[in-house]
Amino acid sequence: MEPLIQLRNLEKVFEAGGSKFFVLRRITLDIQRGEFVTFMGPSGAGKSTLLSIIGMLDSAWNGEYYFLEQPVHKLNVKKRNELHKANIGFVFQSYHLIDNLTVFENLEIPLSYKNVPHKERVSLVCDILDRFNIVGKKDLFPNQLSGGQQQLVGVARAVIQNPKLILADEPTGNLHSAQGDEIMQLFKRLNDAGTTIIQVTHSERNATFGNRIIQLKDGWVVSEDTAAARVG
Amino acid sequence: MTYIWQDLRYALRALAKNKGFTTVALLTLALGMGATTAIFSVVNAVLLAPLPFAQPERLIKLEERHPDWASPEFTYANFADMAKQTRTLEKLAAYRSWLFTLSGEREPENVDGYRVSAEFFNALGVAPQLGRTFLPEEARLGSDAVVVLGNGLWKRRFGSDPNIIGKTCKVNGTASRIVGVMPASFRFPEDAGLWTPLALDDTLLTNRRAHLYTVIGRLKAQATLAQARSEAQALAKAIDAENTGVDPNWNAYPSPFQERLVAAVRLPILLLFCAVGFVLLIACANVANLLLARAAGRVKEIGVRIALGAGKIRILSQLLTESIVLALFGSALGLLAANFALRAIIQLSPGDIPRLQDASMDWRVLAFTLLVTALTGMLFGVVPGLQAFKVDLQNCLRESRRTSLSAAQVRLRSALVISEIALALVLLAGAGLLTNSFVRLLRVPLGFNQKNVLTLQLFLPEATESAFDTRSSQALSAILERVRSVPGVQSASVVNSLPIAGGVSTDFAIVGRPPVKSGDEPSADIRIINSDYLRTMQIPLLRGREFSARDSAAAPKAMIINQTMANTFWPGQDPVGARVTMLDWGPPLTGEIVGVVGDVKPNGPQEPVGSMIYWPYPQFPSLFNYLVVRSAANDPLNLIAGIKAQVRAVNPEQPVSQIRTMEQVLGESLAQRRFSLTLIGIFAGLSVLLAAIGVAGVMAFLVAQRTQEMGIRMALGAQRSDVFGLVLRQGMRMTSLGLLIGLAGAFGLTRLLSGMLYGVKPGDPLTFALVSAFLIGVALLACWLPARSATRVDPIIALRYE
Repeated sequence: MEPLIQLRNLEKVFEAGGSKFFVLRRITLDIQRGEFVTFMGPSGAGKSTLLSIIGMLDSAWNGEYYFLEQPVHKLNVKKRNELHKANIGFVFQSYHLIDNLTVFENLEIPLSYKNVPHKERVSLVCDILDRFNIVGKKDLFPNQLSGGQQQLVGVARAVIQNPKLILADEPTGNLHSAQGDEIMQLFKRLNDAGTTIIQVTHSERNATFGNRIIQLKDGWVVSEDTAAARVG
Repeated sequence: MTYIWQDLRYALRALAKNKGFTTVALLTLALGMGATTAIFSVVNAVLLAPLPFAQPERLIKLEERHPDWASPEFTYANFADMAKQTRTLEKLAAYRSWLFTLSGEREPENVDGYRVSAEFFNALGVAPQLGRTFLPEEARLGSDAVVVLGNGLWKRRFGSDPNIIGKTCKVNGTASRIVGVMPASFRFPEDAGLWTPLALDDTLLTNRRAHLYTVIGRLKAQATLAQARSEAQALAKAIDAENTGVDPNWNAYPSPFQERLVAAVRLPILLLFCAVGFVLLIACANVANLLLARAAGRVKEIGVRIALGAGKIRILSQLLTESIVLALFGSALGLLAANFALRAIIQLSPGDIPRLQDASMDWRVLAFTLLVTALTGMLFGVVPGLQAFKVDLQNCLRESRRTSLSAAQVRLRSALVISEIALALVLLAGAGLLTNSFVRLLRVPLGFNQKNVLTLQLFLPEATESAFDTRSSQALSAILERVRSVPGVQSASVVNSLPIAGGVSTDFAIVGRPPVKSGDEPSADIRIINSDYLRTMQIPLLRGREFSARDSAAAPKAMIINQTMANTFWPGQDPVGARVTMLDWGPPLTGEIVGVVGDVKPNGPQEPVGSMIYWPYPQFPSLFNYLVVRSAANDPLNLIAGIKAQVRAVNPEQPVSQIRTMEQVLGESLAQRRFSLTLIGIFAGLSVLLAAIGVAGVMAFLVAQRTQEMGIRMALGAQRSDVFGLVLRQGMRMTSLGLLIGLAGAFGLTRLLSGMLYGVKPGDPLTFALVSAFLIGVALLACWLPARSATRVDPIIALRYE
């Protein structure tokens, strides 16, 4: 089976004051379906930028990017958005729940953008509330939840559309360790159920939940490490 | 559809949650929309709504026009010839305002009414509610003792009696048969309480000099206005050819009636509409600014929505839903405000704006409000919406902190405030020029002393229009004699038209001078006065003598002229003893000049003084008179009861009406100016308030944006005064740019006001300088609070902020 993601010589450059600054250099890598990949590296290494490109939030780059065998680099904005909407869920470090919406409505939002009919939306949201054990919170607003609870809703929001890929940028960065562990366990369970996960983290401990670590530095991939290798 | 509801729900919730934002935005919109809707209601009622007559678009007004003659009224003989000969017009009717005295069973009262020719009601195409209108044969003297009542008078004086037709009432001392009652919707002319037939004697039927009659009619079915105009011109020439030597330069000119009805008020009303449009634009700019500030706070939310799959259309539709919901609520509040404002405008109005009393919130006003709501909602919603798409997704989704506007967004917000200041300056300049004119008008020397003078209208009902007999003179003398004996009365007299309130005029010729070509004769305003008038009004006698008891009806005809007439026609000479012939009113009447008095403004303080001739009342009795009474004490109104009692003692059926002090008369002559000035002043005030809110809002936002910079500056040694000055300078840069643009705009736009100005030019530098200084002061105040808060930045906290 073809990999979920194939990157070939992917580069991102900023131009300022007549000079070029490379953020990503000749990134070539494959990510298979069902992998749990961790991007690590020092600040400014290009981890989050790579995550944004994979998430199709950033379209200003060079190289080749295949997602589900579709050439993202050749797709127009509309097609990219459709691909993104249908297959990718995001989890952010600062949760990014919408303040004015209740938990229920926050979960409903991505479904409404996919034009899922109202009845089906309600049933999917009820399902996910149940699965994540947050039924009692459905009418609360984000500022009425703890950080851990907000991130739980953030993950539930990413999962509700049943994406093939979840991208998580420092998902436990704002949580204390117990809450962080809970979220990572949740990712692990989702991964075990077949969802591909890519996370960006500084935490060695969080990285152990995945099965592959890719180290970046100054825009280059400097090393790759798999769980098998670590065990070996 | 489901998403519209969702957007609507979220929009309502977002508005409810941001109470501060919502309150300010709604109040701003309510002010803008309220003022706009109220003024549109006026525009709608006065300028747009069709007249309540059959086929109003075919109704025309026919005017006599003369090269140097301002009054468009027809002479009866010219009207009659025109009505007989026209092929393009039909149902031509002449009418003239008249003051009627109703007496009989109830207390006598004066009622404004009209004497109308036979086709009057047919021309308007309105049927009576009860009875009938006039028959052609009733337009003859002797058959004209019939009356049609207005609905208001019928209800008020006759208790809505359904069987009133055929009953009689005493009109001007004559028992007249009531033949019809008009419906409540019929108010034409606006002040008409009743109508009687226009029955004239031969003198007036054949008179081609007395321009007394307004003429209306209808375009025939196949005729166009252009055809009617060219025919009217040809007929005027033909009529003139048959009656040589009267007035060779006149022309007849038909115009759509509605256009003529509102001609005098069209420009002031449209200017008010422009002014209020400016207020609305400023309000929109303010709300757009608020939304931009809010959009800056929502960059992250929009980024998240995009990351979750929202397309641009969905985001834009959501932002537009919010702004339109805001506009709808603002409009609803605005409609409420407009309702109050409209009532206030009608109360404030001078009473001579046609159809203003009919102004209401009809479907046109609601449709207008809905349209403006949609437009404003989009106007102030789209810009922040489009700005929202310029977010840097990666940045805003990262763990950040504080959202900031791009340089372009800051520029946009500043541009909005600059335009607010520019618009406010244009309005202020307009208001300033009108105020300047008004103050100058109040200072104009009127030629008499208006203080402590009471005026009362006396119409002598026994006389008829053409029968100027001595009875009225005797009646008035008796009244005057008694009034002078009322305690507190210093002096009293009679005049046919009050000074500054307009009046009648006539062409004249000077005996012994070469005859002037017909049509080129000079003209003079006429005042008919009793002895003691000059003393009562404190008009100075410059030469000769005043009228006295010796100027009786039987004595040689005497006249007094004003200084302008003396200087114009007898420069460097003494005109006393010269003889002047009055040409227009019936047979020529010649009198000798016995005195010269100081100039008095005849038609309001703004009008120039021309020639004026005073006639002694006994030699030229008038039906319409004003009693003028100078009080020895300060409040002339205290004399009313005593004067009324003395009038009743002479004639119990003599009504007294329009009781005002001379200062009130002067106030009424300036009422339309005061009305325009008040409204433009209110709009200018609103615009300044809104612009100040805009400046303060943007400055506060910019200060918040620069908190860290302020902290760094203070850490590097800047004093609080430096920071204060920094903020003020930034605010003043915007203000100065707004002022410059506003001054350029005001220079162009205030030219439209030139017809409403007095003694000051549209681009008056002093007014412009004063309003600019005022606006700078307001802007400084608006910057003061944000500047003060900038000085309170704690460098340690500010530097830790990021």
